[in-house]
Amino acid sequence: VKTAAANAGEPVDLRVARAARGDVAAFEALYREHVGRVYALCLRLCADPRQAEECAQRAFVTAWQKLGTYRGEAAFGSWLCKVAVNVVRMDQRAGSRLPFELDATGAPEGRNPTPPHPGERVDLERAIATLPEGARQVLVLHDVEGWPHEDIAAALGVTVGTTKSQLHRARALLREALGR
Amino acid sequence: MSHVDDMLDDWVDGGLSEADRAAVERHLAGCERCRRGADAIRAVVAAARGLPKEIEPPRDLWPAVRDDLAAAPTPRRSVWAAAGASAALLFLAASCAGLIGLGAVTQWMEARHAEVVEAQAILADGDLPAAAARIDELAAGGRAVEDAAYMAYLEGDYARADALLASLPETPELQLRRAIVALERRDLDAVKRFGEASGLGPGLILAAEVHLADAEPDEARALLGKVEGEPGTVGDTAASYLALLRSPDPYENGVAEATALWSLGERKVAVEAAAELLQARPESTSRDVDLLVWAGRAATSGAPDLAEELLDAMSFPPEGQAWRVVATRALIEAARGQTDESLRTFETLEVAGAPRDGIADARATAAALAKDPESAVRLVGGQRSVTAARALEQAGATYADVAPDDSFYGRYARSK
Repeated sequence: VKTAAANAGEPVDLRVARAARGDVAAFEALYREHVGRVYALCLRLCADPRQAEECAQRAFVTAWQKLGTYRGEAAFGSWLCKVAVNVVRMDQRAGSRLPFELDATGAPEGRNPTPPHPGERVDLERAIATLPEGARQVLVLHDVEGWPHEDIAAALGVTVGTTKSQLHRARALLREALGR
Repeated sequence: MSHVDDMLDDWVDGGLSEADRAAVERHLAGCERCRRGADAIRAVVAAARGLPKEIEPPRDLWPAVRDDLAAAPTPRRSVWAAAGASAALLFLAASCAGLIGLGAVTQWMEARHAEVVEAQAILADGDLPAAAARIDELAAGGRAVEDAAYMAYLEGDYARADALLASLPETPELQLRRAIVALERRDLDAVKRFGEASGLGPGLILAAEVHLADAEPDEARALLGKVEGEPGTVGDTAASYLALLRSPDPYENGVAEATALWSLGERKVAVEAAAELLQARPESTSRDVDLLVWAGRAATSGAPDLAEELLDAMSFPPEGQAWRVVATRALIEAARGQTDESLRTFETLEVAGAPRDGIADARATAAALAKDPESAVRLVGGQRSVTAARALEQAGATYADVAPDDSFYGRYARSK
């Protein structure tokens, strides 16, 4: 079993250990380091900025509650992302949501306003956001986050066959949307 | 070869077998259309990969997170609910087996627990020869060191029990015993390690349950898959878990996790997790069944208020189970120390013609929840059963009158 120290450096390991013992300041440091990654994931999975905020917030609270079960088998950030994916799933199961709406610039609210290639990126983000939910989630986890199919299938509670066909569908729809 | 659209994604991702990869590449060499398709997929993947991995939220979420943390203390493994309430477990195993098919695991745990409770009762009375005789029975065919380990286990000296077991050659049975000792020590990592190393059905199920409790469903599924086909309780239990885990419904996955927590003895956390899942679920018959099961579990694990909330959330009692709803209300009253109310509720059940054995089990369960020996005796109501004897033994009351003659409790009470 790899340790958190081996994956991400000792300082992280110490903060996790402190937070697991109830040290809120240590947990805040972890929050500050990882919130961008967790929010980006939630935003792309939910395609709804308000829901993404709620899910990111709940992901950190859930992570705090489950810290006792984290034993460094993956880097802390990856573990947090797994927690976040689960929170998003539970959230989508729990209630009907307002349909996704784009803001005036065509991008979901709250995106980083200075991307390296603004036009292309905004187009791609918008195209991803308009994909059907299942296809979108698989594409985000596989192509943006780099998860293997087996992990995605386990996290979403579906088979690898399903994640592969969803990915095929998502990429085809994206090519169409982006005119490629 | 016709066009290879269906394989291009896997080809771009490097997920094809050697043979398929060669076939796709042969086709691409001669097909402009599929080459363009592959290039387009590669372009999409590269663009997706190039998206920023971090996006700052539009507002600082920390103040809201911090406020929520205050209301949500970190649950630790060390704050497990006390074991106890074995009569309650029996009642619940009986209640649940028919309802959701997951009683099997509880029964398996209970079978083990019952032996320990019995031998502990003798030890508590200081009757060592009788305890030794019982232990001989339990560890039939075992070696001397193993018996000593079992003795240490029964006495609650788990460190010594484990040290003794560790001195023996590593057989599968031995590793399963170490997993069970680790469960009593609340060392879940060791439960997982030894349970898995044993390779035996019950050990693999224990290890899978720890994986589930740790939110590692894929690992749990792998272990459960190994014993799914086994005959009897072990196979049934694995199949029940796998059905929940394979369901596309996240709620069912959540129930699997809560059930594992319950089986591992983390009752309070299990009940709270299940309640959260259930309350977010739209009304349905299966929800009502689950609400009833978990209300019973909440009532017997120190959460009568939550139990009442769950009962009140039911839209309609499941068919033929209306009496069980009332019985659960009686349990809630007993857990609150309202013995008179609980007795009155049981009386209405008898008048309404509920199943006699069901009422008897429920009364014994209520007795185990009673706050004092006198209440326990009143709740048992003179029935003769092992469940009642065990409930009274737990409540610190004399049980000679209620123990069946041919049971261990009866024999033991007579021998004194």
